Amino acid sequence: MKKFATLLCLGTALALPSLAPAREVTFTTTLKDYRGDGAYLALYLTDPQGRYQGTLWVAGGKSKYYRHLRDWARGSRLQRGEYDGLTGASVGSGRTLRVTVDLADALIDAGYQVRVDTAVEDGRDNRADVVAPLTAGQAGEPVAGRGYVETLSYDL
Amino acid sequence: MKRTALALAALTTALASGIAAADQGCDAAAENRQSREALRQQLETRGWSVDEIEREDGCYEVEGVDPSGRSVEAYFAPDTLRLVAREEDEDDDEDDDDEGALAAPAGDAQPSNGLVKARPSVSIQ
Repeated sequence: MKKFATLLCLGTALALPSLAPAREVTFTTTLKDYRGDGAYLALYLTDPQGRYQGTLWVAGGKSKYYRHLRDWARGSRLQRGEYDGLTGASVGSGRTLRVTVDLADALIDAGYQVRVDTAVEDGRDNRADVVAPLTAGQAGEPVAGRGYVETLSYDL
Repeated sequence: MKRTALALAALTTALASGIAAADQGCDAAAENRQSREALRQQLETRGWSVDEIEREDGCYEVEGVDPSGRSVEAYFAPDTLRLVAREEDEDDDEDDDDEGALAAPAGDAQPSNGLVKARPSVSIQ
């Protein structure tokens, strides 16, 4: 019963976000000083198995390059509705991207993960460059990336 | 394909206004050329976000977003790093048609994916 209630809450949060209690969450992604072209990033949520749940932000002005954000592209199927209103400029080497969104409370401590895919022209495509569990306990704790991302952290 | 068209448009514009590309300095001698990194730093200092810099007909071709938020392709002289020509990049979807019918992002639209309720507050520093 408790499990059913939890699932109901999560379903409500995803299906009817305007009705669910929400909190402001700031995601901070700092890139390494890789000295290349601006990086394309996809910031998104997955379930614990890595299955795509939704897009938080896509950095990069040309959608023709979005396919290089490989896991995100596969999960979102590059459907415009998944990223409309959630796109902006690419992020330069050594720079820090801060994205503040209102997220449903039910998404915190519910097994979700925040992930960042990265890609750079003439560089590498990094699936899940960095992965962090979306929990209250993880807030404020930077997680190191394995590609172009130096660290990812978030504040609740 | 679009890149070629834009380059032609930009250079044609320069030529049509009576200014040959060579006169702009895009034929600079190798020893006078500045690096792409120098151009990138100059532009980022001025508030640009640079996606890529390539050589095009002797000029540096820059794809990126200018300080006013417009996606542009711009051409710079490699020695002086002065702006030679620019094209606003308003038709990304033409390229996307070439590469798989992916729609251009609607950056000003309200999010509709069910996860994010309103356009996020974003900064790059």
